[in-house]
Amino acid sequence: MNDANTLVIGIGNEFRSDDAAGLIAARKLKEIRYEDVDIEESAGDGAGLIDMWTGRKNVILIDAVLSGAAPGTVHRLELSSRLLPAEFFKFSTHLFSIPQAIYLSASLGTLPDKLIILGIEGKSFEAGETVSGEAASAINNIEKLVLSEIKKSKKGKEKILNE
Amino acid sequence: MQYHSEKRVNCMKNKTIKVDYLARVEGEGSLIIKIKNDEVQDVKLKIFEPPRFFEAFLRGRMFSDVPDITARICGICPVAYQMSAVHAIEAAFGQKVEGQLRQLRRLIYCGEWIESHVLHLAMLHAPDFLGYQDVVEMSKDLPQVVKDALRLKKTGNEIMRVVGGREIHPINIKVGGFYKTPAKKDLLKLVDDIKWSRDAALGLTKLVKTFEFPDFEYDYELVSLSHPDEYPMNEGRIISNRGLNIVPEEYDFNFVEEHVEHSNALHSRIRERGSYMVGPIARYNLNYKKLTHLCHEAARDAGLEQEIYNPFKSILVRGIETLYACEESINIIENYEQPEKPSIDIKVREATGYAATEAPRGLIYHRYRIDNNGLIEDAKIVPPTSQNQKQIEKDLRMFIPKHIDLPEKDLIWKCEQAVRNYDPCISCATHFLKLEILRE
Repeated sequence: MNDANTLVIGIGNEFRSDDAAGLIAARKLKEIRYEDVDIEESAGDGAGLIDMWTGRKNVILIDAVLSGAAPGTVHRLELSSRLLPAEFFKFSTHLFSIPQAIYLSASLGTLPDKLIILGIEGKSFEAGETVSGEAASAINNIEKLVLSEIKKSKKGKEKILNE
Repeated sequence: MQYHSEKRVNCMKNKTIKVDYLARVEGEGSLIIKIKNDEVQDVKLKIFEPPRFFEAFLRGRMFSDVPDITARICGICPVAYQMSAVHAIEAAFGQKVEGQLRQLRRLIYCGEWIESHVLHLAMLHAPDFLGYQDVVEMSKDLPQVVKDALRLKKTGNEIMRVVGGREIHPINIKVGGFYKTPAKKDLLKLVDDIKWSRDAALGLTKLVKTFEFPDFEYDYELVSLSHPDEYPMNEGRIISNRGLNIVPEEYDFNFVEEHVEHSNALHSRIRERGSYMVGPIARYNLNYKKLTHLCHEAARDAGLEQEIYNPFKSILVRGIETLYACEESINIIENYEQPEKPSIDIKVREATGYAATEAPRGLIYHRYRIDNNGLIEDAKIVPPTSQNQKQIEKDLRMFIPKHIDLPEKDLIWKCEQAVRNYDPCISCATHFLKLEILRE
């Protein structure tokens, strides 16, 4: 793994229905074998996330969320452009949650230069191994979004090299 | 100590205080306190995590699936669920894992104690004592403390990764042992970090001893495992300071779970007695002599007696137990020899198996009834937090009157701090006793 690579982290719990969305998305992306991209999975432990992204410049998190939007909606949050709404992850099934990890990492100076969060709106977080049709559809579409984010980071890198 | 500034309420005759969302506990919980004529009428710790159907979910599954499924009940203490599950199932089959495989199980449990205790101590509970809203605020003034805590936690996770195959929801644990055992050289690579962590744990305990601890004590019935040779983790009899001394098979005859209306979690009590406490203070009080010399020194240095009844000092005991887990890890690794086989052969039979182990938060009990094909017919899982529920509410009932004159926001904070004494893992504590659907 190379710190210069974009890091994509799929977050979730495969036994809590749509909470598996981030993990499934990461596994699909891994099959594509992008250049200069590392793909990892996480159960959402904030301290572990901080450890994974420390030293990285570009990070994309993919996680299921419950915000009240229509199931299957994909939200995109870029940390540089707006404050992360803590309520967004309020129903997270994760421990020491993502917003706290982000704020703590920012406080310690270990936050990546660019952190994108792709949140897949879940329908059900009950115990179970099946994702909803809406979440499955969103997972299938996430590849294009991730590719677009990776291209943007590469353009950004090339611009810096050419200056 | 910095409290929120607020106009002091001179009299709190009749009031209902609601904390809709408890911060800095794992999972979702809320608190309702009813006060009438300055007296506490009622306290309800409300768990509103979606009910966990894991016990029902396990029915019909193969026994070999149980460790992986139960690990998902909790992201902080997956090993506790896995260890209790494998011990219970092995007991059902009349089999026992011993020798180096047993030591590896103890090692991975040490890893979990380290990462769970440090997360709670440094990131969830310490801010209370120091007057910070949360660890983010605390990190602005004490960045090195937080960085050290993160590094300490990582050591625990690394132990879990090397032995368990993954740091969260280990995938290498199975009934009978492991899918693969680590080579000694891979474990030895951890030793330098664990030695650093041992010293860091000592440092953290020295910091925590400077905290101001509310003056509060109660004569708890304390319940934990007890083992003749070691500070208990995976095995032992279930004992209490009021004379309880049973094997896990007798748990259901001595403990009762009850469904309470205001909570999705079940409340436990000892039959014919009532509430009790499990967790670090229970373990410490009942097994003090089994701690190491360094732990005893650290405890004395921190002003801890051999028995503690102030729940606010649980944060100190977590520091001592983190120290213990580091020392025990080094001891296990230095004496480790990779076993010839990663697991024992399992012989399936129709039976019921019982086990209790010590999760970071306290005693956890599993029971499985298995058919002659190895399928789970019935499962019962009692996590430590649900066992502590009743006692948490009782603590609050006694604690609040002494602080009833505080401004409301400060009183709420104190109550939350009191709840956090138990490091409640609300994600674990929620499951239904039974589900009945009546159609007319």
